[in-house]
Amino acid sequence: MAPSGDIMACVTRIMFWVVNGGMLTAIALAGCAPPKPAESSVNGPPLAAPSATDDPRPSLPAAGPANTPALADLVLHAKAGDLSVKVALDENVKAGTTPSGVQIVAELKDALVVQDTYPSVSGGLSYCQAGEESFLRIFSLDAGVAEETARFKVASCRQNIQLDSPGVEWHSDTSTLRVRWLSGPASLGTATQLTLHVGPD
Amino acid sequence: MEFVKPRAADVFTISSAPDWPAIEFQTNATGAHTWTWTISWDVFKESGTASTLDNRWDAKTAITNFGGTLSVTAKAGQEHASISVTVKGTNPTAIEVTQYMSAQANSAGFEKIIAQENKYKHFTRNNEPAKSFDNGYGMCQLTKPRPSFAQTWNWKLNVDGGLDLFGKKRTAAVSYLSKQKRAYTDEQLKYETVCQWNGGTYHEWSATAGAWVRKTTIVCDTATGNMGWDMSKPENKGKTEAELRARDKGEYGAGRKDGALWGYYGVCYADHVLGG
Repeated sequence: MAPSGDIMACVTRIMFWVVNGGMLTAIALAGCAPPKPAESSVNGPPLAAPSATDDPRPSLPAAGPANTPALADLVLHAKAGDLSVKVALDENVKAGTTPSGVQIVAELKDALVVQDTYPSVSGGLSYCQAGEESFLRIFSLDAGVAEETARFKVASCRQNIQLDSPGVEWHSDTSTLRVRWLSGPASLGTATQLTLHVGPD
Repeated sequence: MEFVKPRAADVFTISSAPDWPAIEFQTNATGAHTWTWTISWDVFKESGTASTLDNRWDAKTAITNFGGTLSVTAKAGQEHASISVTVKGTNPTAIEVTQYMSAQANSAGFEKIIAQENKYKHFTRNNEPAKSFDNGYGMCQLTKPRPSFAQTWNWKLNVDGGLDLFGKKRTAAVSYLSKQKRAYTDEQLKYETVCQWNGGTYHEWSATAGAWVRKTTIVCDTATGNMGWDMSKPENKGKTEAELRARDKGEYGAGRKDGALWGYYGVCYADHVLGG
């Protein structure tokens, strides 16, 4: 039987700000575990999860190196109207591509959970030529402006991160986002589950 | 001081095994010698120093796993001399590669990928390692992690690097096929691994059959490596491969654009490489 691990983290819309690479980035941590300063910037870009170095639980995968130059323009078709956002990608996404899929996972009054997917950069011997890289992002909404407050990698051909089916589930009754991996980000071939609470603490 | 052997610009050849050649350096000086050597090729470089009690030194041990231009400076007392020679490679035979791979654990399917992609070629016509446009080196076109000098010149180490990546895909394939304690065959694992190497999963669970089956919605363009169609799309439904190909093949050359009704599928890659 495959080993398994669990990650639990909680996301509030804006709890504090972290200066990262000269850019202001909003990130949110609260609730499930006592927040520590180090938890605000796991693996470069801010992530809503504890650091593996501080916590025996597995860390989330980095959504790319800090200051990654790759960006994509997304138009999010929310109930409140279309929102344009610029999102950071990572070095595993094929350069110059547009998303092969954008899905709004959950839409709250003042937050949006989005999964966006891109073709992988291919390697030698057709490695990941048909592969995909997928990110899960949480945006805070304020006066028609969406601001990314958390993001992490949920699937990756290049990084061998594989979602279960279903992999990303939103539970509106508890404002909970559940991600299930067959091959999790922290350990290859290890089933892992992440639970995120989205909303005011 | 002068070198008695080898001659400047002599060429020494690595065998297909690969075994590195003896490269004996000898000067006309006497007494203890110090040999300072550097071997370099492309962005790779390795250096070292050796000492002998006389005027002879065999560089074989020092340069094993490396190739390119070997420059040696010999010093004896106040005298010194320098020389450069070239070390080139020999492609292994298909049998040598398949025999090597069959001895490696969890490699089933990888030999087919290499055969499909480059027919076991590690060296170019110039007998230097193959290098792709994206800096992929050798038989496995290793890019990331960037290969070492040794992985670039020793095809067995290069294959080991490729097998390391392939092994990770195999582990992910095992996780996929064994979820909910489902059973799978070695053949299914091979197809799943080769598919995931290219991208995506090969199998879907059939509740009625109680077994893994090939994804039923993917039809492949069998004239290509990994192009095909998702037959669940209304525009593709009910059409034959020939009809779909006639409709879409004009778009292949420019690569897939948004809204294209065809796509790249690991399922088709596995079928193409392993036979579907």
